[in-house]
Amino acid sequence: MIITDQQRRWWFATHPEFSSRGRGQRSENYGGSYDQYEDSADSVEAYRRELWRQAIEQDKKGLEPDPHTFLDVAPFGRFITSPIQAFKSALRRLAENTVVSAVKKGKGTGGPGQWVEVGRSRLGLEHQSKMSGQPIRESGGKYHINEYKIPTATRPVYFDDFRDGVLYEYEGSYGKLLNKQKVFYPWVKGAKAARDQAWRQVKASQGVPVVWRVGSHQVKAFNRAIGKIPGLTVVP
Amino acid sequence: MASYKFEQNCRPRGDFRIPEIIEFLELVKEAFRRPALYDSHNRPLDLTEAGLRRIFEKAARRLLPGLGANEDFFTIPPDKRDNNTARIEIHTGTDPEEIFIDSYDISMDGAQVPDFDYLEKFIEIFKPFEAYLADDENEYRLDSYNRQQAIPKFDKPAIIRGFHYLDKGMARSIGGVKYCLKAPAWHVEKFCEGVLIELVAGLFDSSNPEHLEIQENAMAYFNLL
Repeated sequence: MIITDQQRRWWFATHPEFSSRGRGQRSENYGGSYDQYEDSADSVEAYRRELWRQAIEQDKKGLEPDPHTFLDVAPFGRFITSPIQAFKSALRRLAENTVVSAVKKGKGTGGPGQWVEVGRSRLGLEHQSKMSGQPIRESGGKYHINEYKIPTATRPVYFDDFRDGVLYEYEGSYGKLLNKQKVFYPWVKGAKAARDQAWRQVKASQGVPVVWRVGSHQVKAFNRAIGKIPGLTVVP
Repeated sequence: MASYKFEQNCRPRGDFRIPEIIEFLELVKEAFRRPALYDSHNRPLDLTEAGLRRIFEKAARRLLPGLGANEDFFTIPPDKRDNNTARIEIHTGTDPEEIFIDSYDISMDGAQVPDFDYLEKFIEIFKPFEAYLADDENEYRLDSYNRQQAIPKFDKPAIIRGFHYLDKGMARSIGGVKYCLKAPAWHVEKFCEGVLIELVAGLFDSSNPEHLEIQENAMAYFNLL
């Protein structure tokens, strides 16, 4: 922190762009000039307030205030505005997260089930998280993610996502299990598991459309593997 | 060589049809010249009523009540990852009240497709309302999956395949048996409980323009384009 005059002189010596000769040049961004204010502590404070007001107006328009503008008129402000900016950024991030959380909660309402956190193996979880927007939580070496759960008489059925009245299942890449015709090799054992899941989901969906989102080159493979299940669509 | 799937669709009866499945699987062994069939754990299949019932009852517990059971069998142990493997995909035991159907399918490479006489015998075992040999590429090209989704209760064929059997009810949906018998195809005959349409002699090849033209003409004839 700069306290003594000696330190202040050293600072201006090493930062000529902030010396009095530079005043009024960098502040043009906000339409005012320091030169119109008298060189007193009250004037500097008034000018700073004016800049801050303009910055807020700009901010309302979606533009970021330039924090360096303050440094033109008050070099010491650098040591004040940085934490303010940091605090402001933190508040903004918090606000953004709050909005995103509200959207996440809202998108799954009104359906036949509810969002719950479930434990899953790591395999394919990142793809699911990326597609559904639900974060992965690691706890004690186990991975958890929010999925949309629909209870049934015997066992609950889970979906990766529910939004806009559609239940989604996101499938990762199975490229190594596809033959030249882009369908699963006949020896692939997982086709049955996919069918099982598809049957359960369509039955549990209670008429809500079920969509499986797969890789663009895997639509044919999943269409063929899932077979004849009315109410299930496979899209890239 | 293209991939093919022989599919047989049956209206649900609510039982596993174990006797028919045993007969079907015994015939599959013969058709593919294999001494045994294998489950997904590479174990030889116990082709007895008790053995299969145990398998399907266990498989049914993985689904929800009323949905029946899914099970896959293989002509070669699946862990060998042999591309000459044929996969028998069975969905059976669906409750008649459900919107779903039972199916008894075989996925295979084109080189593995058995003599069509065997396919006809398979049809005579299950007496499906529809059975066909589907060329995977052709299915994708004509978007048969989504076409089928648009047809409620599987009341009508989505497309006409190279080898396609329809029972009387299905034949009625596209003009009736008599109308089907006059279809522009290589061979059409009354068969089992309906009509068998063969668009071309032998395997339908979706890379053959002549085959595609014949298929297009047949589908136009049945107003399925």
